[in-house]
Amino acid sequence: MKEELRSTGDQIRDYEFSEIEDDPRFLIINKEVKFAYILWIAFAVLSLAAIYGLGGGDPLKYTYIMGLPQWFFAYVMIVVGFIVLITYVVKKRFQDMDLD
Amino acid sequence: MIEVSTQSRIITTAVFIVYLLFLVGIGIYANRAMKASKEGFAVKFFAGNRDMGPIVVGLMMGATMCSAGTFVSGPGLGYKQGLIWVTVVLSSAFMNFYVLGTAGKKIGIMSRRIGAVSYTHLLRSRYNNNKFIGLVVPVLTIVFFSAYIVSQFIGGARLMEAMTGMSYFLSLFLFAVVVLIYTVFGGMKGVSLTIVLQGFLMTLSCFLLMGGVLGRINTEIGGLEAAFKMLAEVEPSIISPNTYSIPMTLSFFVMYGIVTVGWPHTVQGAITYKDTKSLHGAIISGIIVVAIWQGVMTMMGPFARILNPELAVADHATQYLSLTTLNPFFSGIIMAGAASAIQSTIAGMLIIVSSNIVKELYIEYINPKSNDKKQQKITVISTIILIAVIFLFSLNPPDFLQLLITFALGGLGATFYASMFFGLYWKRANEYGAIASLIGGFVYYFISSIVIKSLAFGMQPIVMSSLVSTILLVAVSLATPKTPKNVIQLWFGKVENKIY
Repeated sequence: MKEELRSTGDQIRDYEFSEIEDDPRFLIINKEVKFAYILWIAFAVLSLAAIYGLGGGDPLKYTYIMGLPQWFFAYVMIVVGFIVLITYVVKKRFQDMDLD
Repeated sequence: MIEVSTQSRIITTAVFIVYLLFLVGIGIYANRAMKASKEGFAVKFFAGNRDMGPIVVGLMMGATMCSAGTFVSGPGLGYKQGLIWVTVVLSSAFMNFYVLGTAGKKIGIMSRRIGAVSYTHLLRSRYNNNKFIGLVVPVLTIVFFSAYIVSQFIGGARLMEAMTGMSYFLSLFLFAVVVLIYTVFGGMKGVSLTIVLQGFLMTLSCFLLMGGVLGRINTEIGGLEAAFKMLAEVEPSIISPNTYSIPMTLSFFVMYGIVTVGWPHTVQGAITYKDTKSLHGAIISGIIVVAIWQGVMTMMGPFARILNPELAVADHATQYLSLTTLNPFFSGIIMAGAASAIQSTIAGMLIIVSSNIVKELYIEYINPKSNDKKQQKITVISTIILIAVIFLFSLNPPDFLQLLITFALGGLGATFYASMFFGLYWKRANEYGAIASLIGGFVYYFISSIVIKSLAFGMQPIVMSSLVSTILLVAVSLATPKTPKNVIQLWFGKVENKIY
């Protein structure tokens, strides 16, 4: 059975991180992670604005689009929009890389 | 009980039995496929040979997350709380993107580098093979996932009982036996193949229900807008978002968003995908199907409310709608769809519990030199015992079960999120910080969800608990020595020789 690489080697704790040469793939990944977090913030902000901004009033006075209350319809459109946006970014901007 | 003719019940049951037979068949096929492969047992059984493509990974992650909640209690809550519940649940559509997009690639690289088939192994390796972490993470995972599996079994058996008229015991037994067969024989491969069938059924169910229900709303009430206007007069909270405060809604966005990296069962997809093309495809397929499943099914709640404001048990909304808007054959499909959601979650979690027992506890601490045959035997035996224990708990659920279940998802997410995320991306995160964050997150979740609820500040407890957990990880890591150089080299640096 192959031995997995174990990290119980010398327990050197006194060193500088700059001594370690970063795997370039990880640097690419870091950018993609940042993007994901920014996207989450954008989604949360936009959604909350639509939901409570448009829906905060009296339900009896709601406008309806395609049978749905306006705030809900707007939110569904945001979700659809983000599905399209994520699909585009993942297909066109996220990088393929060798995993080994 | 919803009144339905015996003939209808028979047709529905028949469709469901055919579905169960398909699952068994897939389990057997997967077993043969596994035998033909030359890889080690653990990689084949728990990681699907790291060979899973975009549709399978996407569906698997989505279906593991969508469980009885999606088809039963989700619509039930939609019935009671209305559109704002649909809103927050719909945000979970992006889960695949958050898990795969914020952790997928690095986990893919690292799990290959160190031969990891589980979340536990990744955490243990990153944190210097720390013994506390190596024991606590698997134990927590085993205990809480098992509890969650029990809740799924109960939900599934009750659904079967209600729709087919079989006894609770028999429903439970059938459920358990079928899941046992395709997980024990098929392993991850069996699970992944069944999930393709199940994902298809779940999607089909959504379209059938939506069609039937909208049809009925149009004929009986004269359209959606008229229906909502009616509700606005009678029960405005159903269509107003103010049923949840802004912090509460935001907390759901957090829970179903970035914190999902703390959930071992969805992260498993990041360990099994074949290549980055598959990963990218899994993100896209995942967000589309989960949006459909979650969006459509929770909408059934308010729709059921529109059609029957007097429904005795809100959780019966899905059954009520399928039995009153569709013919028995399609009702059988819906049942198979609901069962699919439940079984896929059970199977996904079972594989993880099993891998924690076998690989992360038995092989790691008891018998590191075991060969493939031995590992397989232990896996089969432990899975059978596990399902038997779960079956017994499901027959007669003890009171503390509800506690464990509440904990299972939110609690684990809060406990693990910080150590996993910062472990992946912050070199300074060390084992002491991780231990502090595990304990802190767990304890804070317990206190803020059960003992002093005001500590959750009007949000889902997972939010504050994750925050506390993160602060502890950062503070304690900075106050203690760095992680040893060879670990950081392994986790952040270039590794010249291929290890695995």
